[in-house]
Amino acid sequence: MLVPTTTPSTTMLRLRDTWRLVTLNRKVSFGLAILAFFVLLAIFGPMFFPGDPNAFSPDILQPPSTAHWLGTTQTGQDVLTQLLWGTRFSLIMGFAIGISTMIISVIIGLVAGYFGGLIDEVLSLFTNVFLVLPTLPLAILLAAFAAYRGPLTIAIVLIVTGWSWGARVLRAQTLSMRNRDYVDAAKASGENSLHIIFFEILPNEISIVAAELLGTVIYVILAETGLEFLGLGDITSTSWGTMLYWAGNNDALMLGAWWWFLPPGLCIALLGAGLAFINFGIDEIANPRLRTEPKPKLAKRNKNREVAA
Amino acid sequence: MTFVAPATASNPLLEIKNMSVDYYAANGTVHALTDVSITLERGQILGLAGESGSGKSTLAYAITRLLRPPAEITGGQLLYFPRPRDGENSGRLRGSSRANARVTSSGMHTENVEPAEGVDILEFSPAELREFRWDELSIVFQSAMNALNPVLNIGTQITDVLRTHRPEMGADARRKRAIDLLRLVGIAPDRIKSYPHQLSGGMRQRAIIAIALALTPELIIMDEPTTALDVVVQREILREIMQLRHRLNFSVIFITHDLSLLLEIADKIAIMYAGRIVETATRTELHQQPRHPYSYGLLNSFPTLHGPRRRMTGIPGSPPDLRDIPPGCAFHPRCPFAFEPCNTVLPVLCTSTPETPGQQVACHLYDQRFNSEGLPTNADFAKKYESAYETGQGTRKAV
Amino acid sequence: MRHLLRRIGFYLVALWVSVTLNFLIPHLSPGNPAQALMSRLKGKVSPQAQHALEISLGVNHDPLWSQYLQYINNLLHGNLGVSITYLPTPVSQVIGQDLPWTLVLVGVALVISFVVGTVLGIIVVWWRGSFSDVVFTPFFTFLSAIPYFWLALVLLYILGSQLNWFPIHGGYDTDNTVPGFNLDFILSAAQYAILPAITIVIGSIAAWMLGMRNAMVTTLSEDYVMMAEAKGLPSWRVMFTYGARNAILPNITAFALSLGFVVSGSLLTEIVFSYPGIGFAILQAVDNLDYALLQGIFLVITVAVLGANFLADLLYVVLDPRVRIGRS
Repeated sequence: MLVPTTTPSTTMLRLRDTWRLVTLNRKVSFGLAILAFFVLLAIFGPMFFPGDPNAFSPDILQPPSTAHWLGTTQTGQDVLTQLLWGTRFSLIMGFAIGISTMIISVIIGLVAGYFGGLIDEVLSLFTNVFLVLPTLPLAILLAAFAAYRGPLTIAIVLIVTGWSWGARVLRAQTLSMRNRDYVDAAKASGENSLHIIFFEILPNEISIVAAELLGTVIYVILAETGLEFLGLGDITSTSWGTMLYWAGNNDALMLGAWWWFLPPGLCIALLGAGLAFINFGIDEIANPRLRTEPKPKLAKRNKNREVAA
Repeated sequence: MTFVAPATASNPLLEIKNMSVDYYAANGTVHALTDVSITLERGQILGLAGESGSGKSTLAYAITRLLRPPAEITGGQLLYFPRPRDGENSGRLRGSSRANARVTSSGMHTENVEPAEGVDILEFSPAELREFRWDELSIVFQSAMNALNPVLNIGTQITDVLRTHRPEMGADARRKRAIDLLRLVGIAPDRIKSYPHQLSGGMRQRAIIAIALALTPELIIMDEPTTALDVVVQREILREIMQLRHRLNFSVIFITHDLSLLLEIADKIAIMYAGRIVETATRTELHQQPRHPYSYGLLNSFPTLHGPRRRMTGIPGSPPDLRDIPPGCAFHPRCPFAFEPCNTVLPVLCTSTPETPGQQVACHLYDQRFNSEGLPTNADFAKKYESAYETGQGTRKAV
Repeated sequence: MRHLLRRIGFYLVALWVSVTLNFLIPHLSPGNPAQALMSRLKGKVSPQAQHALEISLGVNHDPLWSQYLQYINNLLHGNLGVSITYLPTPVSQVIGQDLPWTLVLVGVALVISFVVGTVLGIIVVWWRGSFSDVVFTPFFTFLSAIPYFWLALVLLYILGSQLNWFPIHGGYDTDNTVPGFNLDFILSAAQYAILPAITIVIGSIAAWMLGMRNAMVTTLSEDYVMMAEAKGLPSWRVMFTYGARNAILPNITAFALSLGFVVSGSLLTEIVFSYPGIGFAILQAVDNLDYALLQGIFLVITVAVLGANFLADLLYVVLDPRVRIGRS
C-alpha cells in the first residue's frame, strides 16, 4: 500500500473475517458453489439457447440426443431450452418474492420483539396464527379467487402465506437483544424507536436474517412450483413449475418421457440443497457447538481420546 | 482408624503429574493446562484458585475425564490411590465392584498398609471409567440450574446412580437411600418427586450435593459450587459441605476464584495462572505470606472478612490469550516486580524459603541466581502494587 | 392446565381467522371470478342453496356484516355450500367422503416419518464425526429440498410404472373389491397407500432428522448431560434419558409448526397418485372452478392441522414437567 495507513478499518476486518469463515466452512462453500452455478445458468443459459422455449417443432417426444440434449416434449419443445429459461424465471421469482417476504418478516418480527407488551401480544398472535394455517390450501384459495393468473398473483399469495416463520424467529432474537447495553445506550441518548430497531438492532441480526432469507427462498421456490404444478400460475410462461404442469398433464410419466419431468425437479432439489447448505453453514458459524471440528492430529494418548469422546 | 498417618507422612489419594491439556481451535491451539503437578492427600481439601481462564476448571474436567473434543489431554498422568476394600471401619457403603483391578491384592486384608501402587485414571477403559466415576469420584457442577436434568425428578436423578452402580439394591432400598440423602443435605423427603424447576437455587445446589454423595465417594470435585448463589445461601451451603465432610470423611478439590474463601476451608491451596500452578501452600502459609506476586494480587482483589484492612488495588491488565502465552513467566506483563529474566526464563515450582518447605512458588524472585536481595514481604507487595495502580491511573488520566 | 387453556384459546382464534379469511378472500378479490359462475348456476339449485353460495362466494349484495353473520350461521349448521363439480352434492358430503383417505394416509405417514426421523437424528449424533456426518447429513439436506410431488412422480415412474411393484393410480382396487369394512378392501387400500406414504415419509423425514440432530448436539453440551456422564451411567441412558429426552422437546414444537407445510406437500402427492383424498378434490375443484369446495377444503384442513397441533401440545405437556407442573 502506498498510503501509510494505521490499521484496516473494522468494517474491512469484519469483511475479511466473514470471508475467512465462509471459505473455511465447507457447507457454505459447497452451497455457494451450487448457487453460483444456477445463477450463471440463469444469466448465460438463455444466451446460448436463445430460441423461444415454447416454440413447437416436429421432433416430438424425442429422448436426449445431440440435437436436443435433454430431449423434447410432446409438442416438440426443447427441454434444455425450457429448463434454462425456467431457471432464470424461478431464480428471479424465488429471490424477489423471498426478499419481499423477508422485509415483512423483519418489520413484524423486530417491531413485536422490540416494543413488547400489547403490540407484541397482538403481532405474535397474528404471526402464530399464520404459522399454523396450512399454507398451500390458503395459497390455492387466494390464487383461485384472483382474477388474473401470473407471477404477480403468485408473489402476493406467497408473501401472504410465507412471512410468519421468519417473523417468529426474528421476534425471539429481538426479544433477547432489546436489553443489551448498546440498545439501552441508544435509548438513553434519545434515539427514536424506529431508528434503534432498524439501525442498531437489525445490523446485529443480519446473520439470522440471511439464514431466514435462504429458508424463505427455498420455501418460495417449492411453493411456487407447487402452485404452478396445479395450474394456478401462468401456464404459458416457462418455469420449472409449468414444465412439470405440462409434463403431468400430458402424461409424460405414462409415455416414459423421464427426460421431461426429471430435470426440473432435480434442479429444484439441487438449488434447494445448495441454499440449505449455506443455511446450515451459517448456523454452524453462529452456533459453534453444531460444528464438527476437523480432527486434531493425534497426540500420544490415543486410547484416552476415544474414551473421552 | 486402624491406620494413623504421621503428620508428615504422605498418604496420597490423587497424584496429578505433568498434566497438559490443549484445545484445538480453528485460529490456533489453546494451551489450557501446561505441565501441572500436584498431590491431593487423603481426607484433605485442596483448593484451586485463579482468574477465569487460568485452567482450574479444565483441570477438574481432565481429572474426571469429561473433556470433549476439541479439548485434548496431551500429556501427563493421573495416579489414583484407591483405599483397600475391606480394611476400613468407616462404615462406607461399598459395592463389590471396584474400578481398580490393578491394586495388589496382597494388601487387601492387612492392616496398616498403603496401596503400593496408584492406577492411572487416563489409562482406564470405558468400562473401568464408568465404574470409577461417582463410586470413587463425583463432581458438583458450577451451575445447579444447568446440572440437573429438567425433565427428571430429583429422586430419579439420585436413584439412577444407585441403579447403575449398586445393581443389588432393590427399588425400595434405592428410594430409602435417596430419602436419606435428601435429609442429609437438609431437603424435606417429600421433595423427592419435585422437578428441578420447582426448587430454589439453594435447594438445587443441595440436591446436587446429595447426588454427589449417593455412593459416598472418596473424592468430590466442587467447581465453584456456590458462585451462582446469593451470599447468605452461599454460607449455608458451605457450612453444610464442611459438616458433611467431617461426617463422611471424603476429600475435596474445591475450585473457586474467591481465594479468601479457600483461606477459610482448604488444607492446601494451589494458585493457577495461564494454565500453570504458580504457587502451592497451606492456607496458613498463604494467609501469612503469599509468595507469588500474583497470589498476593489475587488475595487482595477480594475483601476479606477477617484480617487487616488493605487497600484494594486489583491486578493491572488482564489474563493472557492462551493461544499466545507470553514467554518466560506468563505473568510478567502484569507483574509489578517483573525484572530481566522474567520474560525469557520459565520459572519452575520450588520451595520458596527453608522456613516453609511446603510452600512452593514459581517465581524468579525466589531464585538465588536471579535475585540475591531479600525476599519480598507483604508490605513490599502492597507498595509495588499501589504504585503500579497509581501509574496506571495516571496514564489513564493522561490519555 | 393454564397452559392448555391458553393453547385452546389460541386455536379458537386461529380457527376464527381462517373462517374470516375464507369469507373475506372472495369478497375482497377484485373481479371475483365466481360472479360469472353464479349466473350459470341459476335455476340449477334451490333458491336457498343459491343464496348461501352467493354469500360464501362473495357475490351477494347484502351489507357485508349481515353476509358475515349469515355465513357464520351457515357454517355452524354444517352448511358449506354446494359443490359444482358434483352438483348438487353438498360440499360437506364431498369432503366427508375424501377426508378419511387423507387422514389415514397423511396421519400414518407423518407419525412414521417423525419417529424414524427423530431416531435417525439421535443415531447420527451418536456416531458423530464419523461416516454419518459426512454422508448422512448432506444426503438428508438434499432430501429436504425435493418437492413432494416431484418425488412422487419419480417414485411412481420407477417403482410403479417401470418395475410394476405398486399400483400407480387410485386408492384401492375398484374392480375387485367393495369399499367397506372387509379384509379384501383394507388390504387393497393398504397396498395402494404404500407408495404415497413412502413419498410423504421420504419428503418430510429430513426435516425431523436434521432438527433432532441440531437439538441433540445442543443438548449434549449441557451440564446435565456432562453430569450424567460423570455419574458413570451407561451411555445409552445418557444419550436417551438425558440427551434425547430433552432434545425432543424443541423438535415437537417444530413438528407442530411445520405440520401445515407437510400437509400441503402431502396434498400434492395425492394429486400425483390420483389418490381419492382431499388433495385430489383440490385438483378437481381448481379444474372445475368449484370455489365452494375449495373454501370447504381450506376450512377442513385448517381444523385438522389445528387438531394435530393440539395433540402435539398435549404430547409436549406430558413430556415437559416445566409446563405440566408450575413452580410450587
